[in-house]
Amino acid sequence: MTDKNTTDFNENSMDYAGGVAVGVTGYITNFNADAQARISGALMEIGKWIDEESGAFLGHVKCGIYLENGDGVTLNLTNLENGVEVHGILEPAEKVGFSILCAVLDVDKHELEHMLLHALEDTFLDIELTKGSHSHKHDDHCGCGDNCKCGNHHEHHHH
Amino acid sequence: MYVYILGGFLGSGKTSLMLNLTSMYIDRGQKVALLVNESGDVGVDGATMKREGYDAIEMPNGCICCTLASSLQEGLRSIARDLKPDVILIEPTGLALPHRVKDLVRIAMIDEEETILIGVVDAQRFDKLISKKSEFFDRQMQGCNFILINKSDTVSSEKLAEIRNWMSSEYPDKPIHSVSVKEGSNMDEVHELMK
Ligand SMILES: Nc1nc2c(ncn2[C@@H]2O[C@H](COP(=O)(O)OP(=O)(O)OP(=O)(O)O)[C@@H](O)[C@H]2O)c(=O)[nH]1
Ligand SMILES: [Mg+2]
Repeated sequence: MTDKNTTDFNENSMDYAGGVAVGVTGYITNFNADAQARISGALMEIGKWIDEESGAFLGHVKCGIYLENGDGVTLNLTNLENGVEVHGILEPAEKVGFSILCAVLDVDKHELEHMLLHALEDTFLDIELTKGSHSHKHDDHCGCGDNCKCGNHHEHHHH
Repeated sequence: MYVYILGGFLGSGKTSLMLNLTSMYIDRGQKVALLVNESGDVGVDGATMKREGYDAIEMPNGCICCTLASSLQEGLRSIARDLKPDVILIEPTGLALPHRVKDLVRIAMIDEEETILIGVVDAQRFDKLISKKSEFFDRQMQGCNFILINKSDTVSSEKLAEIRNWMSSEYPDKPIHSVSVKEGSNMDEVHELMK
């Protein structure tokens, strides 16, 4: 194929690819190896959902967990068969910062936001979100109204 | 000053490559400036670079190939003016069209010697991406000066050869290298290419 000149800066490349990006930032209290495993579990849960929803998990679900001094660990999921890949080591800490970014193809953004928040709830960790990409407050009843396509409202278990 | 753009799909290994190249440039005694951009309003790559001891300039809330085109240019001008690096490494989002970033660098007037676009391809998910998004993949490869087929450690040598053959017939004018950034295989070859 040739390098044709197709530069059109008005076209949004994310839309062009059919991509969506959803993220949250916040703090986890009482971080330890178990908490890290639970976050990994949440990323897997999201990845599996994307796979079912879009027909193939194509994208990157990743999480950075860090201390103020920059020490931290990164969790990456790009391929379900590989599972979550862990980079770095973070010792147990009272409070750590974290951010999760899901950038994937061919899923509904609103549904993905819900999935992410539900998956975090399912960890039962003490999480405080400072930046949820959700446009409205999320609670057990969700409150998104009739237009919400989140399929998890009723069958979702809050153990 | 040389500018390198590390382009390629989500999760193909751009940040891993950036870490590898940064440490190479530091070993060479050259000054590197890093610019990372991520889809959406939340960033993780900046923290990954920081964990390894490198400070990257993060550009959040948009894409440097389209919605943040002017911020990219302003950012590059201030990097060139204030930091005066030997090399700038730019990682666009995995959903960006990297050749646009190349065009934007060219018109930013930062007096760079050359802007080189590296296309990073994930061998493990190659078939999946081609079967679902071949047109997008093709546009991501546009304008690449050379292509790295990354994660060679995850596929058999037969599969790797198949991908290479496919890529060489699609992009006959582009040099192609198979690498594993993770395991370091063939990275010497890549380091030799880096100015
Ligand atoms: N097996 C293997 N894994 C790799 C290799 N290179 C990168 N990875 C892994 O692939 C995952 C994604 O790598 P990143 O470097 O974050 O990919 P990226 O292109 O920066 O991702 P985005 O910024 O989200 O688009 C990480 O878990 C890496 O460790 C490689 O050569 N082999
Ligand atoms: Mg990255």
